[in-house]
Amino acid sequence: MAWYENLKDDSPIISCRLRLARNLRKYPFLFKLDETQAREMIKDVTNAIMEKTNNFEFIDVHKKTTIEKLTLLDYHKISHDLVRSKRPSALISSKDDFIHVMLNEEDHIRIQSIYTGNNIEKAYELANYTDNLIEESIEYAFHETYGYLTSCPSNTGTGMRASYMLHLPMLDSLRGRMEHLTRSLASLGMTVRGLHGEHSSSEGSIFQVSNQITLGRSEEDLLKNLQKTVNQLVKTELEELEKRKNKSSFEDSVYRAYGTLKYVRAIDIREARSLLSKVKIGILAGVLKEEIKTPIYNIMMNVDYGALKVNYLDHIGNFENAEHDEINALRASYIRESL
Amino acid sequence: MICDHCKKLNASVTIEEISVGKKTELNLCYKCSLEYNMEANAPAVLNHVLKHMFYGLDALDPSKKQQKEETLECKCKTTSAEFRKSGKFGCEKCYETFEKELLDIFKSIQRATEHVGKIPQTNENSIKIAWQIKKLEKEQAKAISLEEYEQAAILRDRIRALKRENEENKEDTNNGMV
Ligand SMILES: [Zn+2]
Ligand SMILES: [Zn+2]
Repeated sequence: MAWYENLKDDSPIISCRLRLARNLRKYPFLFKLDETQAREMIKDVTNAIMEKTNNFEFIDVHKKTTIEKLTLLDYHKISHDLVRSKRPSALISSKDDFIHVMLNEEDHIRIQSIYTGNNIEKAYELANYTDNLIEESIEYAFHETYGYLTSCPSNTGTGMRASYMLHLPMLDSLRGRMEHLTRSLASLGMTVRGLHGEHSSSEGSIFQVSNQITLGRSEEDLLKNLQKTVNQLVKTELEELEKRKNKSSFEDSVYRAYGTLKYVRAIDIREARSLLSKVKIGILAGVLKEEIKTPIYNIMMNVDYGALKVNYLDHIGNFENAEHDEINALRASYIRESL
Repeated sequence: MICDHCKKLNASVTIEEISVGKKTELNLCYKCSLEYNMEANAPAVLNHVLKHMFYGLDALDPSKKQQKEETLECKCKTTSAEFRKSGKFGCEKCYETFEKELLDIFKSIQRATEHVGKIPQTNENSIKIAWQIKKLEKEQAKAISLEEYEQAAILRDRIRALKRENEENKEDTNNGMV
């Protein structure tokens, strides 16, 4: 089962991801790697994995069509860099879909694991297992003092970036509070990123919290620190929700958003994200009593241009030239069907 | 406002990043915002550090040419200028070639300069011993500075023993390879 089929609307935590960056001692880093070396490197790593287990499958990203690449991208299996890349690149995925090994992205190897909910330890366990598997037959670029060497010094050391996607509309509406909180988190070595619309009102209130520091602390320490941070954000969000959820204005805004999405005929991305966010918090608060067919974050992921393009390509032919109205109508019909 | 990425369309989305106590904003058009990958992008603060590291405060003054900037080149053909622009190394050796810059970056975005986490299993033993040696050498230096010579001698012997152990291990693996 793919990770996103497990999404639920019962917590501010949407998903967690962990990735390990590794490079082979044998080859120069990506930016100085020629095509022949790149192919050899891919072969080396593929063999290292495939020889030991048959739980993985090999996907030649280079040979995929753009649409196929975008589908992989939408489910976070590969990155934008890999979609655009003209270099030989590949993806090795575990058959249960929890581990994705990107080859020849920013580093030779990027092992990535994604889970829904609060499962960062599990994600680390799996990534670490895959790392050990590869390392049995491959020598990594490792430095006695600096640890795992990566092409960008912001990843050196553990090569580990762990992150959480969080939905925090209550905190987001208190901009001062959120800013204060994120600043104090940053001083602990965390990075907080949020997406904001033109007029400061947030777009979907989705935040990403990750470890900024990769060097000088053990993997366990970094994960513990991140979890503490996330727990604190979640706790504050839920306290704020508790204060507001019984007000009739809260119920009204949730049902207004739901009603609009249920009957809308054309909707742009910004309005869609903002209304979906209200429905999502309404479900978490137990205020919205309607049956919803699809997890809201799943709908949020799919209302983007890229995903609509993949799912509706047949309907609309040449999407690049489609009028905005047409895309907005498609988006609306997708949302109506999903709710 | 114009999009920071394509420099063509109007920016409609702001991505705020707070990292190492620094707030940076990236203004993107709708299309570029979809391509922005929260996961993969290096922290914006890195670019800031790179710029100031190489040029110092002169970077803010366009009238001053950066004459004193030295140009290094690694054996992989990565130059100082290239690294400054991309923030990316070309090979393992770059970590030594650009060590001075590297340590500056580490201090500002990592706040540390030494790895303490996972070690590849294949050389786990020898690296653990090397770390142990380093720790003892620090203690030894401290003992000497405090004129505790007896303690320093004990440490010296332990360091020697560990070094010998590591040499022997290396020989073993070398023999095993042949
Ligand atoms: Zn743009
Ligand atoms: Zn180099």
